[in-house]
Amino acid sequence: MERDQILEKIKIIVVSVLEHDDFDMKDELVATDVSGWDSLTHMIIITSIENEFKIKFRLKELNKLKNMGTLIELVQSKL
Amino acid sequence: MKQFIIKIGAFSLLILLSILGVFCLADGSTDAMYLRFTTPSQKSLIIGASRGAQGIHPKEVNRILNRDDLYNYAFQGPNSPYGEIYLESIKRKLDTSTKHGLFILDVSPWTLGLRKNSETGEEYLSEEDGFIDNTNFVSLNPNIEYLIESLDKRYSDIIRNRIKKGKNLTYLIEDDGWLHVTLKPDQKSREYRTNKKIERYTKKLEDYHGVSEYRKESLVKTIQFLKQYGQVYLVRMPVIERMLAVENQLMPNFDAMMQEISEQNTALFINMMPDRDSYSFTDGNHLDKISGTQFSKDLANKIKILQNDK
Amino acid sequence: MEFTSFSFAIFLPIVFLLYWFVFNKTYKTQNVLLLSASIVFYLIADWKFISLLAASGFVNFWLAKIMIQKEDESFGRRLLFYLGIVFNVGILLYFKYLNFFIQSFVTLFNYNDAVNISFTPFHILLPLGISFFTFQMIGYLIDVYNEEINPTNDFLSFSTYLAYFPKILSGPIERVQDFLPQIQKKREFNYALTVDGLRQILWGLLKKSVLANNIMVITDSIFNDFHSMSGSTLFMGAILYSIGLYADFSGYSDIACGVSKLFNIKITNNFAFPFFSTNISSFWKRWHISLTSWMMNYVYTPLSFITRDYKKVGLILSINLTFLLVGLWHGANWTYVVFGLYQGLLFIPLIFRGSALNNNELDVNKFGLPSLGDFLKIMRTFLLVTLGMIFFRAESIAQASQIFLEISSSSFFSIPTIRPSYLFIIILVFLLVEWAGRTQEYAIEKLWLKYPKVLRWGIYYVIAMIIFLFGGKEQEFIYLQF
Repeated sequence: MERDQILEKIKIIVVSVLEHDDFDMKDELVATDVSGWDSLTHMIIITSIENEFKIKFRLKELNKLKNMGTLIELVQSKL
Repeated sequence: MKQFIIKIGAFSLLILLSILGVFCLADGSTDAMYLRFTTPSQKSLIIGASRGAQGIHPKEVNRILNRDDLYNYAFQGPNSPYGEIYLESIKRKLDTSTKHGLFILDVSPWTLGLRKNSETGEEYLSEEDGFIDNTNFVSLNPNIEYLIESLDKRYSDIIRNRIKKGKNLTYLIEDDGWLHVTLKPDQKSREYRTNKKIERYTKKLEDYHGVSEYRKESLVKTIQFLKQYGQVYLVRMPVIERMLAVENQLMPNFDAMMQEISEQNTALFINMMPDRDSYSFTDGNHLDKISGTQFSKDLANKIKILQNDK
Repeated sequence: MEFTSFSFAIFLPIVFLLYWFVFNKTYKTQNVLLLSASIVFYLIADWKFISLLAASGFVNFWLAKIMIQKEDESFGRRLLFYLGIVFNVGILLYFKYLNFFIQSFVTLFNYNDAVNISFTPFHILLPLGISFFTFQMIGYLIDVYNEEINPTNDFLSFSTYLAYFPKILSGPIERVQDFLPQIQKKREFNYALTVDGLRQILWGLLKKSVLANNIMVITDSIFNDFHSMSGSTLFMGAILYSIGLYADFSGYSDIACGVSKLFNIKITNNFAFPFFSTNISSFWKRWHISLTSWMMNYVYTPLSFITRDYKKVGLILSINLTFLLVGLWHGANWTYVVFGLYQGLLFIPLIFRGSALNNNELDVNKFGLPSLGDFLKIMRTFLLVTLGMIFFRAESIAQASQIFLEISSSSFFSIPTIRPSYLFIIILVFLLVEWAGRTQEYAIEKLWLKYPKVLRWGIYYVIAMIIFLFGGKEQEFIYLQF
């Protein structure tokens, strides 16, 4: 899957979980910059991504995530 | 950096000076102990607990005995029972240039009783880490050490009490060390306080286990030390009948013990307990102001007779 | 040695001068000084346990190093990791919880009278700062194990991090990756930061020794004699206790941050005006931040990861377990367990309502006031927190329930007897200052900066004298026992 496609799909997920699109979807995006993206919603977003792409993350991989860019790369590597 | 040090140095200095200024305002109204640690060392002392602190007026005793050097250095039961700690403080406070000092030791079962640590069973010394233990300088004015380490109040109280002085202030120490206590004098308040006090002391009995050998030895040491500089008198201060009954439970043979200690150490024991009905008390335990004056005169006269006998 | 003690007032300037004038050659000499000062500080505070602190430092430093040399996913690495966790948790369990667990176990056993075991609690002293430093070490091991950070080879800096005196007694629980980089380079004197630090210390002292100490005298008199208090008095007492506890601990944290700034080292701010939160989740993001983020990182995240397939039920389970531990972290008492569970329960409606509530931006009108809706939410959050504080303050569950019973009785409608009443005016002024400064690191960070210098220093002088004159006599700092 293309990088852009993954990005688009993730964006849809985040918007549906947080109920707003008040953020700029780019590689440098970090959770703390997005209103409502906190430790409670984080795992909901992660689960939704897993289901969407039919993949499973490992906790260690999640811990190493730095920003949206690394999340996309991680998803890509799993496909 | 340099600029910063200069600025902060100047600011700190200003703060320190202001603090010192407040400390200089501390006086006999500050609390029930402070002033005694600010006066110069003394040649003649009243030693003991709160009964002595409130009940023996140095001024009255001085007048009758024609002296001017008796100073009240008695504090309160938990902090000044007989022991090494109090003795150290006495040694510091005493002006040792005299051989003709007068030393009045207020003795009671409470300042010689044995208390135990409920966990370890060892003797519990209530004065440890108390204000007498923590005050190394006993003749410093203003006594910065006491004010920092031991003052059990906010520093604003120094100013407040000074302003209030004379008006509804419970405690006031006079220049001769006498502790002036003002409580509601009416009969009802007295009875209330007396009942509370008896209740408290009856409960206190549970903590005590007869005579403490350590305290007894310390009393002897205190006598031995003071004897070098003058005559030592042991005084049992009067209390009301009900209080005496409580004390008798703790030490039934107290008077005989004091008599014996006095004889062995060339001190003189004056038992004022039998005269208890001639005085009135604020709470059954402490003489009130008027009776305190009378008591001091009576005590001084007895001392005078004893002195003449010699 | 407490921050509000006389000895600390002498200790700090000496360390400051030595740091910038004598040991200022390299970052190593700076760290040597900070480490020595920290050891002296700890020795004065609690000399008995310095060896425990040292042992904790050595063991964790070496474990992390050896662990990472083993292959990823290998048995050896796992073994060393779990050994490390057992070591740290073991220390904590032994010193802090052993008696509690045995006692609870015995009570449970004796419950049905089948057997009667008597238990004399062991005489175990609690090492100062143990909950704080063991948590830092556990976090370090986990981060190294997860390869989030590399283990350090710099034992000097590592032990300075562990023992650093501004945070050793009561936190913040600092992460290695935030702290270590700062002390592995030479620090230069920074005038603005130093003055900022002093201002923060001043504010912290005002909160802790004037506000908190004076409030705590009153709440102590209320709760120590709770039997004879009316429901309304107990309720007001609980409100005062919330504010007092906040003033105490956030005051302490401000002093810690401020002191650290004097050495040009920044440590985590533990509080971000929690009383202005509109819901409980927002409250916990702003109250004892370093503890909550630790719990979020190392307890909640793994738990919610494991239970992620159960959606909201998984989240609820994770958050409740996490807060149970937050509660228990405060001490070995069932009251803390209930306190934690209660907080966890408060999250459930939030989780069910989804994320809409997570927008925590407060909108204010032209007078700088929040909307009525937000104001009510703030009051509701404060009330919920305050009710939880009754468990926190009570000595036993029985006592807490008696207090609750009295509060829910008719005596709730009597007039509370709390003296002096001017205290409430002081608290109101304090809360207004906090409100005005709520977007800053601490309330008076930028206040008065526009004033002429003389006036500003005049204000500092007045604050300093207020602290001196009205500072309550030193109370045992609540967070020291944790």
